[in-house]
Amino acid sequence: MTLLLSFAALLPRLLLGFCVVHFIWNATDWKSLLVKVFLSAGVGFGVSSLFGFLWIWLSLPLTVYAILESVFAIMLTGWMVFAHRPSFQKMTERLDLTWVLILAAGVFLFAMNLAIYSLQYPHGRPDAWINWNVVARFVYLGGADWQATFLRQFDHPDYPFFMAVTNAITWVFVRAESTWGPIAFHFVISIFTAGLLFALVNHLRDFKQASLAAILFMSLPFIVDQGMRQYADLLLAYLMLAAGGLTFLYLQTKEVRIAILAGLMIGLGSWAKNEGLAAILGISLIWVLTALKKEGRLAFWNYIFGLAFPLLVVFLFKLFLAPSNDLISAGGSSLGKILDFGRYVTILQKAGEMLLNLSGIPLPLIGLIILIMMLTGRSAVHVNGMWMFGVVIGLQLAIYFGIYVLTPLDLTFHLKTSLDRLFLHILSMAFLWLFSWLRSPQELTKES
Amino acid sequence: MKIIRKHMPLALAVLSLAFASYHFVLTFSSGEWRNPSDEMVSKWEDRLQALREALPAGVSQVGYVDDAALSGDPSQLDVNEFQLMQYSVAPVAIQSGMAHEWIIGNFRDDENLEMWLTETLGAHELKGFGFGLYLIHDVEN
Repeated sequence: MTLLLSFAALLPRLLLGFCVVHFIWNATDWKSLLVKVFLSAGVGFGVSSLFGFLWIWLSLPLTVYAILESVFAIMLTGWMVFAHRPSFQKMTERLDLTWVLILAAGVFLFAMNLAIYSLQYPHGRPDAWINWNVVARFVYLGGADWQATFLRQFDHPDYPFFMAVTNAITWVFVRAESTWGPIAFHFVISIFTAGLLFALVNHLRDFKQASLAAILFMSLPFIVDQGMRQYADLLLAYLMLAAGGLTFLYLQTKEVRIAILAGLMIGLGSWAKNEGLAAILGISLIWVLTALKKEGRLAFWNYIFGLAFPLLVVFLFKLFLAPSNDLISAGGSSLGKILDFGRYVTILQKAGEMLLNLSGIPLPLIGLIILIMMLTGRSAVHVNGMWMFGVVIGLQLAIYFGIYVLTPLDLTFHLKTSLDRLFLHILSMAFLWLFSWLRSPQELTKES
Repeated sequence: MKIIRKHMPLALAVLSLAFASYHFVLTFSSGEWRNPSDEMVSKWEDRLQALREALPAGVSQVGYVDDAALSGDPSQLDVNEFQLMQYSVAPVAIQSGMAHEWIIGNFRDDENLEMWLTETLGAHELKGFGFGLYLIHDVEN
């Protein structure tokens, strides 16, 4: 029963997320609809956690917020369905049954792997109870004293509250700090990450290409592990995929309201994890470049509008509540580290080793990808703006590289305990780029 | 070559499904998922239940000592168990040391605990919960 309640508790926020997305971006074609459905988790949970956080910061009871929010979400959905029903266009594309069945099998196996992982590790893996779910317990159980979470030692009390407030709201409905709450959340995020990748590739290319992208992504044991260990890394990867994908969609369609969602998603990335602040730089750079042309300026300001609220909350959180981050507050000679080229060699070496062993499958993923690219080749379909992925991913990796160069922690320890998760942040965006670039099964069939 | 290119996507999809199936069968057959209550953190939480319920209402922060305090060597602090303890007793924040009225003790070797507490704290109350877990009340604080 608790399991069902935990999933049911997420539904109002998913509905809220969809309503917000559709209000901002009211496209009615089925390909856009699919993207909007898979954006709803990030927007719904993210906006909910922002307002929930502000609510408890004002010393108001979380239970009242959870109920009000759910009532509002249901009323908003009802209003949208009955009073202002959007007329979505019917899907006219015929789907290849073989690929539908393969996709269905992939989704089924992914769900089963996620489920069995959660049974094996109901509390997640170490950082889940050290840094993430412990905060949710403070928020849910602490009442007016929830800020005692900032007194915690030997972990990171400066981490933002996206997941903590989300899980605490679920527990309000479940009426206990059950492990099923975070399990349900991470299950949904894992499914929605794969779903968003599918929806974006489907929008930009076609169904078969999207199916292939999603199936490969879901088959990686690395994704299952990172999804259900109950950290914030796959959540950040999902939000970065959303922001990057929406930016990419804007470059194709020039639909200016998409920019609001792109700003909102990347802003929520910084509310999910500190590394999200770095991602804002890369995505924002793309939007600054679009603003260099006159026709891009409205979209740029829309992006800033979407980014403003989550960034403001993060700023207030860091300024008034969160202690200093351990990487920033530790002393030590930065110049000495910058001039120590042995550190550069160590980082690049470990990064190379990690890249070869990232996926958890018996073959090196990077090798498999290179082979596919060589055999399949580039698509003849021109997709605008592919360069942006190089900028965003390159800048994100460069920032991570700089963090490792300057880290006050033992470098080998820091690399060992975090490098795989940093690669995860850009992996889903890299998949989007790859499957936008590759010749699709449809193209290959037509060629022969 | 054309045939390979044409069927490459389908082959990749089937290979992916094979990876996913293999991963599932491997995990399923290991059997570790059958007893979630036997998982390390779940067992830890079960052990902490009684101590958590014994914490007085209204207390937002308590001290924490383990074998490192008994031996006088702070570097011996078991950080993993400290972090697990924090997770289990939240929303009470724990602070390493004995600066608070209420202190959680977590010891592997508690043979000389009473004597050490008398020397260190003076008057105190001690309640044990098994597994080396204690709730210490520093009555003079």
